[in-house]
Parts: sequence; C-alpha cells; structure tokens
Amino acid sequence: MKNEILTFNLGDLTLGIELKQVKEMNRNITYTMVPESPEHIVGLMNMRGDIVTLFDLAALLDLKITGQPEQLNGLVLKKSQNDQDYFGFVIHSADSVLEINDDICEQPPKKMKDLNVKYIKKIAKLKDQLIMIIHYDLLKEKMTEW
Amino acid sequence: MQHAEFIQEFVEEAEAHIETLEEGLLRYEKKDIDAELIHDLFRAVHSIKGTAGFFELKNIVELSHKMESIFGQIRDGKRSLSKSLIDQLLQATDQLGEMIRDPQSSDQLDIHTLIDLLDQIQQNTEPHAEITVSQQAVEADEPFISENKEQNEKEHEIEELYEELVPESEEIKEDDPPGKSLILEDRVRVHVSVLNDLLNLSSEMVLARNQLLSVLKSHEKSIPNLKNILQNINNLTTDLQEKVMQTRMQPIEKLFHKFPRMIRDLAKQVGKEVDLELNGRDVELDKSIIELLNDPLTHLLRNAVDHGIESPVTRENLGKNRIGSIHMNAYHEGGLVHIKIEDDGAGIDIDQIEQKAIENGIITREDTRKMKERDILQLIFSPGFSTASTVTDLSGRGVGLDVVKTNLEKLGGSIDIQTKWGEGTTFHLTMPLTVAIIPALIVSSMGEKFVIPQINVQEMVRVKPGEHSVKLERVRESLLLKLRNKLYPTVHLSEVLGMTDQSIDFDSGTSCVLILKSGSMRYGLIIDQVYDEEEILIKSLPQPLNKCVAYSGVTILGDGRVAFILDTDGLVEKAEISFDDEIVEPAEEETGLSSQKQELLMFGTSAGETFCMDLELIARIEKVNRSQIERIGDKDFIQFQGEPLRVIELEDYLPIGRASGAEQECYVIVPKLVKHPIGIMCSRIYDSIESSIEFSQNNDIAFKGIVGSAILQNRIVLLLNIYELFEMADPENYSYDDKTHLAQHTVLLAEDTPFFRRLEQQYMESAGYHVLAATNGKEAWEILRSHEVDVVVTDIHMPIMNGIEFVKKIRSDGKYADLPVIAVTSINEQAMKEKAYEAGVDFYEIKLDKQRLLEKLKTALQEGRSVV
Repeated sequence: MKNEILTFNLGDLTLGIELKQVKEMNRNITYTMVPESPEHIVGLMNMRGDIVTLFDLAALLDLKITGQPEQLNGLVLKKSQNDQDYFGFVIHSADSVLEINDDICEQPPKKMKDLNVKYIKKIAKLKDQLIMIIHYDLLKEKMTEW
Repeated sequence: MQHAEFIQEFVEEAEAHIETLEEGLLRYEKKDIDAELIHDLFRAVHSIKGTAGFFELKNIVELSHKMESIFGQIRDGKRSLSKSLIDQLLQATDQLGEMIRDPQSSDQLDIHTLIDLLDQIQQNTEPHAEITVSQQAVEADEPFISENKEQNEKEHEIEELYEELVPESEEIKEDDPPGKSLILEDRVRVHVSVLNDLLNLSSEMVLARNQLLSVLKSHEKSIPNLKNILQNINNLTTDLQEKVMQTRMQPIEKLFHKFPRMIRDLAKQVGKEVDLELNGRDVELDKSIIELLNDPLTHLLRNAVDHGIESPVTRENLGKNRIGSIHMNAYHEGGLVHIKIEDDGAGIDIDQIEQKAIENGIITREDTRKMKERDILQLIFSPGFSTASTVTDLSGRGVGLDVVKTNLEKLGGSIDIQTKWGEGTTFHLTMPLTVAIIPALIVSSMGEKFVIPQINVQEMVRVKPGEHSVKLERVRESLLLKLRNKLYPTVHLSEVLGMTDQSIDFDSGTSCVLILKSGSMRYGLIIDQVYDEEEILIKSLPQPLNKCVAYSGVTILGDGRVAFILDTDGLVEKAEISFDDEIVEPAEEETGLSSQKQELLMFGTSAGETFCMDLELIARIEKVNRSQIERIGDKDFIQFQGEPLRVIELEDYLPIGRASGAEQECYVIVPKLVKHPIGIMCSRIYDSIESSIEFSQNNDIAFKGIVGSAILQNRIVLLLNIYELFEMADPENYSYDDKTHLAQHTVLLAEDTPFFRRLEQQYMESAGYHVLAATNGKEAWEILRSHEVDVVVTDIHMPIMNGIEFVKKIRSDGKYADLPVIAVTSINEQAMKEKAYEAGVDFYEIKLDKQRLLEKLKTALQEGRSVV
C-alpha cells in the first residue's frame, strides 16, 4: 500500500507525517506564548482568524535537539469533526512529499535512544536516509490530555 | 432509510410546525382566536403527515393523521375545542415533537395508547353544549375553506415531488402575523458554522485592510487613484463586517415562544393561575446570546410561578386578582438589550433572606448590621441559597440564581432585582447585543499583550513612589494597594502567570495598577502598560489550554497576533488572592469612614489661627488687594461679579488674635446657598483636604461662630459656623428668633458626616428644637421607634442604611404615615430628588442654608404632610 508522506526536519532528524493529515504549512510564523502551560505547548498562532495551538513535537517525542533555526515554520494539521480547534507543530523546515510503499517500512524498535518510540508509527528506509513516520492519532491524545 | 440527506430538513421544518401547533392550542385556551387559527393548526399537522409519509415514518404519520382528523372536525364545526381536549392535543403534540426530533427511532416507540385515545375522541363527535368560537370562525370564513383545501391539495402534490421550496413559503406565512399582507421573501437555510466562519473571515478582512492601508499610506501620492481605491476598500470592508454581524442576529421570539406553554403547565402543576404577557418579541440579539439566555430566563420564570405568585385563594384574600400576572419585556436602551421580568406576586421577604443566609452560613449576624437592604437582597444570588421553605420539584433547590448571575456575567451582562413585600418582584437583566464583540483594554506585561474586558475593570491608577494617598505596601507575603483609604489585595500579572521568577521591585518607578472586579470583590493587578482600548472578538480558549484558569478566551489583535483574554475570577484563583477578614475588615471599616469624609478648605487669619469650612458651602474664592475694599458707612464692600459684596473680617466678630500690619493681598471666601452673601476675608488659603472630622472635647475652645475644633494635619483647626458669624455681622438679615411656639418639638436628625451633624444640630437647637442625632438610617430608625419624634431631617448618602431606605422604612409603617420628613443633602440632581419624593420625602433641601432649613422645619411642623 502506498502512502503520501510529508517529510520535515527537526534538528538533524527527518520525520514524516501522512499528507492526508496535514492542512497546510506556514512559513516564518509568529505566535503568542502561553505563560504557565506545559512544556509541549509552544503558543497560539493566528491562521486567517482561526486559532492554532502550536505544539513542540520534540518535547512530545522526548527528543533532544540542539540549535534553533533562523525561522520557524508551522505545520497545521487537519481537524476532525469533533475537534474544536486546529493544532500544529513547530518544525524547522519542510522537505518534500514522498510516495512511500509499505514494503520499505519497518516497525520501530522497542527502544531508541533519545526518542519515545511510542509515537513513531513506522520507519521508512530510503536509500540514503531513515524517515520516522509519526503516529499522529496517538500523539493527539497526549496533546489534548493536559 | 432512504433520502437520509433530506431528513434534517424535515426535522427543522416539522419543528416549526410543532411550534405552530403548541402556540395555536394555547391561543385556543386563552380564547384568543381568529378565523385563520384552525386552518393554521390543520395545515401544520397536515404538512407533517405529508412529509413524514414521504420518509415512511409510520408512527408520525399515524399520529399526525389522527390529529388532523380531529382538527378537521373542529374546522368543520362538528366539535368544539374543550379545555380537556386542548390538554390531550397538547400531549399529542409533545409526543409528535419527540418523535420528530429523533425520526430514526420514532417507529420503535409505542404510541398505541395515545392513538386509541385520539380514536375515541374522534368517534365521539357530539358537539359540546358550550358555544364554540371555532364554529363561528369557520362560518364567518366559509369561502376560505375551499381555498384552503385547494392549497392543501396543491401542497400535497408538491410534497410528493419533494420540492423544497414549499416548506419555505409555508414558513414565511408563519412568520407574518395574520392580517399583514404576504410579502414573499427569498430565504435560504444556512448552517451556523458557515456564519461563524464568515464572521471570522470578515474580522480577518478588517485586519488585512488595516495592514494594507498602513503599508500603502505613503504611496497615496505616487500612485494615481490609489487613495480612492483604498477608501473604497475601507468602506466595503466595514459594510461587509456589519452585514455579517447582522446575519447572526435573531429575534428574541426564538426564546419567548416556548414560555407561554411552560408557564401554563407549571401553573397547572402547582395549582396557580398565571397570565404571562410577553413584549418586545422582535428585539434582536446575537444567536449565541439567545442560546445562553435560555436557562436564565427559564429559571427566573419558574421562580416567579413557584415562589412569586401566590395561590388563587391567597390572592383573593389579599384583594388581588386571582390570576397572577408575569410580565416579560425586552427592549433596547443605551446600546444594550434589557429584559425585565415582573410579577405581581408576594415579593421577597428581606428578613427571611437575612435569616436564611445566616442559617446557611453565607453571612454572620455580625455582617447583617453593616448591610443595607439592597446588599441583603443580593444574597439570593449566592451559591447555596434557597428561600423556599420546602424544596419543590420545580425550583427552590438552592441552585440556580447564582448560576443565572454567573451566566449573565459571562455574557458581559448583569442582573438587578427589586422587590416590594406583598406587591411583587422585578428582575432586570441587561446584556450586550452581541457577545462575540466586547470593548476591552489591551495591556502589556513583560512585553506580552493581554486583553481585559472593560466590564471587569473598575479603574486604573498610577502609583508613584513617595505619594501618600495612593501607594503599594507589602504586608507580610501579600501586596496591598492603598487607595482613598481602602486597601486592595494586589498582584503582579507577570508573577501570577509565572513569566518571571524575580519579585518585582515596585518602589523604583511608577506602577500601573488596574482595579479589577471579581464578583463583589475588588483587587489590584499590576501591569506594565495600557496600550489601547479595542473592540475585540472573543474566541474560545483552545481545548488543550482549558486548564489555564487565568484566561477566559483568546482574541486576535489589530496587529494579527493572538492575545489572551484575562479572566478576572480565574486570576484570583491562580494568584490565591485571599479576601480574608484580615484584609477586608480594615478596608470595610475605612469604607464606612470614607463616606463621612468631607472636603474642607483650610485658611488662616492674620494672627495665624487656622479655620476651615466645608467646600460645599463655598461658591468662590477671590484674591483681592486691600486697596480694592471700599468702605461705606461701617461696612466694607468689594465689587464682585459687577455687584457690591459685603466682606467681613473674622477678627471683628470672633475672639481671635489680630496682627498689626495686615498684608495687602488677601482672599475673600464667597459662601453659597445663602440669601444675603457676605464674603469672609482671610490672609492665607492653605489647602483643601479630604478628611473626616473628630471634634475635640476641649471646651476651652468654644465660642459663638464656630462649630467646634479639631486636629487636622497636626494643627488645631476651628470649624466656622457661618450662620452664627453672619448673625453677628448682619443681625437684620440673619437673626432667627422664633423659638417660642416650637420649643417643645423634637427633631430626629440622621446625618453621617460629623461636621454637618453638629452644624445642623446647632442650627436647630438655636431655634429652640430638641434634636436627637443619629449617624445613619438604621440608628435613626431605632431612635424613632423608642422616642416621640415630630419631624425627621435626614441626609441621603449614609452608610449602612441610606436616607432613601430609611424614608421607605418610615413610610412602610402606618404609625408614621403623618410624620414629615425633610431630606437635606448635597446631591442637587433631579433624578435623586424624584427618587426621594417617591420614597416619601416631603421636602428636599440642598446643604446647607440655615434659614431655609428652619423655615422648612416650621412649615413641616405647622402644616404637617398635608401640604404636599
């Protein structure tokens, strides 16, 4: 089975998300910080009058990244019928959209250093790189549970 | 099920028909019938039947068919609509409504009992003995029926084709009151989410326009025609936004229509007779407000029926109409929507509220002494309060009124209550037209912008270091703002939100403090800066942030950034501000004092004595040179506003020192509210201060011309009694020697300001009256009950019980029906005057003209209340 995957970078890691879950990309975003919120909430962004809650994907994945890019980009996700608001991830840069066949994917190992594998759905093995495809449905539970 | 996509349309349409049925049946009950009514009812069930048939909803078809047959019989004059039949039809309407709201499972319901009942009714067609209005109506409108039948047939055809336009045209008919000509309008059903999106987009459009205008402003000259284009875009955007707001407006009728039925059922249940009158059905409000108003209004109406209106027997015994009336009125005023709910029931017993509140531990007996009637009444809005002695099924569970209040406050509205024991209660609700847009302050703290709804802000103060009247003090752990002798617990916004770890040093510079409201509490919030005032569009807080109590929502500011709307109640919780006794007590005591404060002018004589008089008694202060004083006979005059004004030196009449070489410059204080003004000369004007006076008990300083002495600002200050002074200076015009025949009369004086209390007492005692003085209405009331009093002189603004409440209390007791009351106040406003007269005051006097006061006293005593 083929899946369209949007790949993006967070530090030196390449991550992927199913394209059908993505609404849009916003470049060079500005957002409002939320004082006294948990670490994984970055802030709120205005997307043409809709409020997008931005999450720190690295924090959600227990990922330690070094260095901040010059500009931050926002990856806004589609919302389901039950969702009141839009959610988004702050990412460093978007890469490309790839068609990835299931047969080049593998289940993540039980444990990985510096990464919570619970939220990695599968790992796509390309010729020159590995892409961690995130499990957005599971992540969303964590994002809304606070 | 087939055609599932149309089913929602059917539900919406059929619900409108159910409303028609309900309303129509209720009109029958009230005998408010016209020829069109039965046709409307018939048409409503007929339409439901037709469409339900299309969807193969068997139960709905069967029930509506039975109802249709009965309406048919009524229409054809074969049957009358008795009270019991109305009941049964209403019951059937309810069942029909229930099935319509959930059509999918409607066929699983067992409705055969109801069907059997309707069958019986239908077969039993003997006409009732009582004359039926419906018969007359039908007879009068014979030709209409055939027309109607035609129409029905036509409709039926169209329904079978499932043409969507028919229900639309039907709906328009329902909207138009009978008798109005039918204007066909085009209407489209639009989902609310589309309207919400439109609202969002149009607000964004406004922001984008603002950005565009500011960017292109500098190019207006270089690009031809740009200015016109921008102007055009500007206007179009504004119009667009207004139109979008309009699409969300709905008439309050949406809510009102269901109340007659509710009241009817409720009244029946509790064995009362109630007539509900609704006004202002066409007042429009934002959809979201209408939705949020549903529960509060329902609750208030239920309360009115359950607690307010008495049983018919009780009402008859009281000489009231056995049918109680509830009047609900909606109207626009001052940019707000007002809704009044008035009942003519028993009213609320203040004493009982006080009792209940003490029992439920909301207040202590200690508290009640300081509380005004109005404050006690407000207690019914406290959580956990119930006045009904027995808990009933309907209301009186002690939850509700507090919810009503909080709900309204959430909308940016408020609720007020007035009640008269035995005569009824009025609830007055006010709210904005639209909930989505509210005026707010944009403030900043640590560079972040926040929004505070203006309705929550009491005032803004700047605190400069070194100032005494306004200052911040640290008391143990907490910060207090001292303002006008009140203490407000105060917090720093950035500390509350955890944006900084450092404790803020407020000693170094000017701090900006907002006094915010949280319920009846007030507290200070320190911020860095107030940016602006803006009308903001409220958006709900994103779900992941629901646990942030400090915010009530978010908004998008003019610069396109998201900002949090601060929740003034949430901040209290978050900052753990305690309004405990320790802090509030002194503040409250000071409040009591502050109402007795007066503004005093302090001035000095040539030898250095300091005098003062109330600023309210002074019209003007003139600086003059002694060479301007002209002597005529033994009197001195200056020219003041083109007229000669007599001036006097205090040294000539009072036993005070006199310096030899008088300065050239001096001041003349011109008093107001006296018939024969005399200027008082003094050498120095020190200051005007706001202070309360405590008279010293030292009798060494006591002479004619002063009220007494007091220590103010570390100085012994003599309070001038200008009437005694003028009496000495101008005995012809100012002597008042009429003591003889009024000597035995007793005056009850209620006045909280010590200065005026003493002054008025002296005035009256100088005329030979016996004066009993009280410091507020409550004290005066107690004196009145234990002493013989011939006349009452009262101030209006007083702590604990004010003058108006005091007078109302006097007038409510038959024993004092003839007791004359004179109000003496510094409030020179027509509205207050009217309020005072309404409360039962006989004379309204402005502070403070001795002669007028004494004349009024004389008139009041000689002629009693009859003169008014």
